[in-house]
Amino acid sequence: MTPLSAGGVSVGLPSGWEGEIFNRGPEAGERSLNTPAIPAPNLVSEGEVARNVVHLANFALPAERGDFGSGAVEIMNSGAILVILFEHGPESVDTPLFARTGVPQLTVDEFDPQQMQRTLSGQSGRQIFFNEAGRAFCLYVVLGGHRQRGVLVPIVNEVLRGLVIEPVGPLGS
Amino acid sequence: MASRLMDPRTTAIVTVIVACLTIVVILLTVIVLGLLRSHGEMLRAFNELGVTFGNDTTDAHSGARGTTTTIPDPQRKSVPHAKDLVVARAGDNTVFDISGTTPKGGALAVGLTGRNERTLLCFLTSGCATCRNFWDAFANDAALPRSVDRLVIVTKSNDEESPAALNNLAPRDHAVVMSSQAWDDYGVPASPYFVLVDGATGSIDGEGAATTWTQVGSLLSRAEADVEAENERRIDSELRKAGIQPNDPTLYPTDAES
Repeated sequence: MTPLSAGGVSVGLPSGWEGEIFNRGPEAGERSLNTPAIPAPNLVSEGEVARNVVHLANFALPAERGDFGSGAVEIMNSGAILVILFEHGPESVDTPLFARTGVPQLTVDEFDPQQMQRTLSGQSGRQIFFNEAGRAFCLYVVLGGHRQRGVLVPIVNEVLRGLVIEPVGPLGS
Repeated sequence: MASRLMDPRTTAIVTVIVACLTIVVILLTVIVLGLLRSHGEMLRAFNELGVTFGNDTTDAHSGARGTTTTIPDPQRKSVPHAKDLVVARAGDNTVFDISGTTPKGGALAVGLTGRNERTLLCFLTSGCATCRNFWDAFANDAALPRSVDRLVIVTKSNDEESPAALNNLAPRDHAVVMSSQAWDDYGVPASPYFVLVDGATGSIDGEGAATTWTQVGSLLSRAEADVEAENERRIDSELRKAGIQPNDPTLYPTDAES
């Protein structure tokens, strides 16, 4: 397991996996300028400052990526997995959208090519909102091959089981 | 007036003393110049090996600490140099995934195995003069060699490196991970240093030092050509052992077969 930890989020990655945890706040610079593959204007209200972003993948992540994986989803092959955690501000924790508590476990049936904002041939996705340790997150998982979901989803769940979220503030604070 | 004049004997003594002092000063000047030249030659020699001392190349505008002195392990026989870049690794061939931080303060893990691609790990520092060649090349979108699928820059952790300096140097197109553990895992003796990892086999294809990116590219290309030539020789040899000579008709399909 390769450890990855920052901003109160930690995870042990299986061999060959890679990932990055970075801050999405205005002080972080260019990452906040990227256009996400799934724009979520209805989820990020004006004045709200999104927090940490976690990208985990079993393929080589390009250095330049959008918060929701643009730049990475385009190069995914059928066996590729991309797991994204996007943190929302503390004001979102008590909203109905984030009512679900705890890091989710996913089922094969939940994945649907139509869950991707920008449909890419053969791929499917799943987006879930949840709260954990007083923090609000959007979990977004992309499978490179929808037909491989029977094999890929258990691997995703194994990674999610190793995810630990602690009740702390944003990176660097 | 006459009382102010020195007697001839005193004048002679003073003249001798001044002459002696002049000679001593000239001798000391020659010695100091010799030492400075020797010092410069040593620094140049160290620099060619990728070793820098102190903050000799610190960018004053970047606020870099520039104290990333790298000294080769004295137990190691020698620092592999450019000519050794793509030779088989003699020692431990283990590939390690890399976990560390980014210059911006985030966390980054780089996976290297279980994928059909070759990764070139570039171990650089922010203060080493030779490393600057590579930072500049990467900032100017230097093309990757044909045999390399991606490039990952590995620096020491932030207790030995300056994140602020790295922020100014880090290229947009390549990952920069700060991990002293990776330097230990791969036994990096000096900077800049390069390790070529084959993800498909989970092995290290080669390693060594070079002074310019162009040199790295040409060495990798040459090594690639050597491997292809060796494969051709091996195939010819196996065919000969099977009794098949060059231009043997069995090597070419007949019209009926094709």
